[in-house]
Amino acid sequence: MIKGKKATDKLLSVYWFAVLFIVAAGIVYIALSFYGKPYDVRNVEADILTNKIADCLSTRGVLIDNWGDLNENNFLETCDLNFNVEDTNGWKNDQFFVRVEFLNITDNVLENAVSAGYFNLENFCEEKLVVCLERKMYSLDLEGNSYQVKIKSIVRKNEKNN
Amino acid sequence: MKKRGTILVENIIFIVLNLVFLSILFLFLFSKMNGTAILEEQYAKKIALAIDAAKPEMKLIFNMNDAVEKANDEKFDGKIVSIEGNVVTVRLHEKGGYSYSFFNDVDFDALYYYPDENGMFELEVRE
Repeated sequence: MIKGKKATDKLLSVYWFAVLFIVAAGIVYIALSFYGKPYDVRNVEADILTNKIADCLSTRGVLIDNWGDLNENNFLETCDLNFNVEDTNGWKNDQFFVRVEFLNITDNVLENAVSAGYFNLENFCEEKLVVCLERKMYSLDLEGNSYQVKIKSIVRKNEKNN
Repeated sequence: MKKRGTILVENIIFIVLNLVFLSILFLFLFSKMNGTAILEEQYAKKIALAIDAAKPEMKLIFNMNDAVEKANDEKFDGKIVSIEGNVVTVRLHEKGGYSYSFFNDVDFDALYYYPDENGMFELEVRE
């Protein structure tokens, strides 16, 4: 009777360690998959970029006076933006893209469209290979005309966030 | 008497093995949670995002106590935070470091390399 009990105890111990091992393997897998991946901050980055552009283009609901002169060459400087990135993973300052459109609401005419950064990124928005954020705001120009300003911000940086 | 003693020893070995097993598991988890590489990434991204959202004349203050402790543990006495161009690098040990770029085109005051004795790291944003 005692011998039988001892054998059962040993068998139970083996099963107990098997269960422990399976649980531990599960925890290790979850920990590695959670902590092994980088923190994805691209949504926050795109959000901040969009807000910064909105703040740059409009103050208290009125567009800046030279909004009509904005173009690819002066946009980044006007809005204090710098799209250079760290030299890693083969990146060549091609991780950001921004497009801004000024639509006259009264006449429904697109009066200016500016873009900056690596334009190819726009093609990857639908496949969700990059983080794309599109926002609209309404503003007046100095003469009181109403405009819809559409801001599209794209951040790639996949290797450091995905 | 002899038999009872044997059972006790077996039980103790069983409990000790369980404890060893669980201790190793928890040590692994804590090492993953507070890893140097994770802290470097966390702070590099936090600082870069804070700079992105900052406006000129703002003062950014980061509590980097845990990072400073980790750098001390690693016996690293170099620059913990460095900013070159528009790239923030956080380094808590000799080999390695993590860099992340920010898009806000601003400058900073000169003293931004070392957190103070309380582990607070200050950054003053200039135009």
